Amino acid sequence: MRKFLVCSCLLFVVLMSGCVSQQRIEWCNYSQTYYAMVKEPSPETIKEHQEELVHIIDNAEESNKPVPPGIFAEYGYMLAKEGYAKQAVVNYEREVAAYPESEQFVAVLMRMVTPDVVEDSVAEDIIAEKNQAADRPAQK
Amino acid sequence: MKFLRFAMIACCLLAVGCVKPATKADLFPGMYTEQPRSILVLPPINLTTAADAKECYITTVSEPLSHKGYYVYPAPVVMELMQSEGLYDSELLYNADLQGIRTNLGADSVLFTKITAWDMSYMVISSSMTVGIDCELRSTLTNNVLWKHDGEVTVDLSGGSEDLIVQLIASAVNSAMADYVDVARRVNDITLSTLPAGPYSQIYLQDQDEVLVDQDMWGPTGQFP
Repeated sequence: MRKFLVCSCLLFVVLMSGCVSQQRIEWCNYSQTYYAMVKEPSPETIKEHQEELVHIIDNAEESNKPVPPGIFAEYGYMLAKEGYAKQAVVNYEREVAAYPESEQFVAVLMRMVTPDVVEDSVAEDIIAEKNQAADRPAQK
Repeated sequence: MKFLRFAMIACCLLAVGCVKPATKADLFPGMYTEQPRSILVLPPINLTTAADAKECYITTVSEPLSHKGYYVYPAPVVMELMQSEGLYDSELLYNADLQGIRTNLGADSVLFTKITAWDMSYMVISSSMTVGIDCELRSTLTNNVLWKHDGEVTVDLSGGSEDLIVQLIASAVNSAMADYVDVARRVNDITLSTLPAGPYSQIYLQDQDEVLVDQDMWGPTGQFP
């Protein structure tokens, strides 16, 4: 009897945890933090949303699920605004790798990165950007 | 006894016959011929007097669309880009040629959303919240309407407990906007259930024969009100 109880308890737990990860794509608390950021745009709420994006990416990679569409691009966009051009480009590239549909859109975002790089005057970034700029017409 | 059973079956058959059944392929043929892979959600068109409905609603759209299997453009980035281009009011785009969005941003389709209701009504002993959203997915290739649906959900907030006044004040002051977002999510669930599955879905291009009812309301040929 006890064994049966334990078994059924275990089964219940397994079923319950299965419910949580039912969706193919896991957005975690995305809409909550996005909503908070829209409602009261402050450095805190923006940071919180950015951390949530990182959390979504980590969570997806841990559970072998696809990262939701647009998350890499959004994270990259936030990084670019803060002046982390190199990191931004890395995330933009990951967006295209995960979702080839985004290629043209990401190219637009990439073009917007350049001025930040110059302001940063990080030599490496400038070189990387110039190379990309040189590659771009070749791709088209 | 046998007669009763027959009568019941006949009733069921008749009841089924009354509703006009139509499949997703019948109602939204463009979805299967054009097969859009990506959706760009434009800033919502706000027809209500609620000032922040637009910003609140946009936070709820990406998630259900991605579950449907589409590539969805990141909403905060799109909102900013549109703002900087002076296209924050999607009304301006409604009658425009959408091909520019395809050539500039690569989106296969754009989603127009209209917020038709966003209000809370207070009564003496009960209050309710209503959110209404009209959606229209348009092709950036042909400007045609690929899919459309109007949805409205009203939620009764009166719990019927003794702390009614306290509850009312609490819902009015504290959580009002958060509740709206929850109601908007429920509208999305209802609305998007009629949208054919996208390329990242397991049933991509396999749901043509799924039957929907009330086609008069959802017909793709109807005008966006």
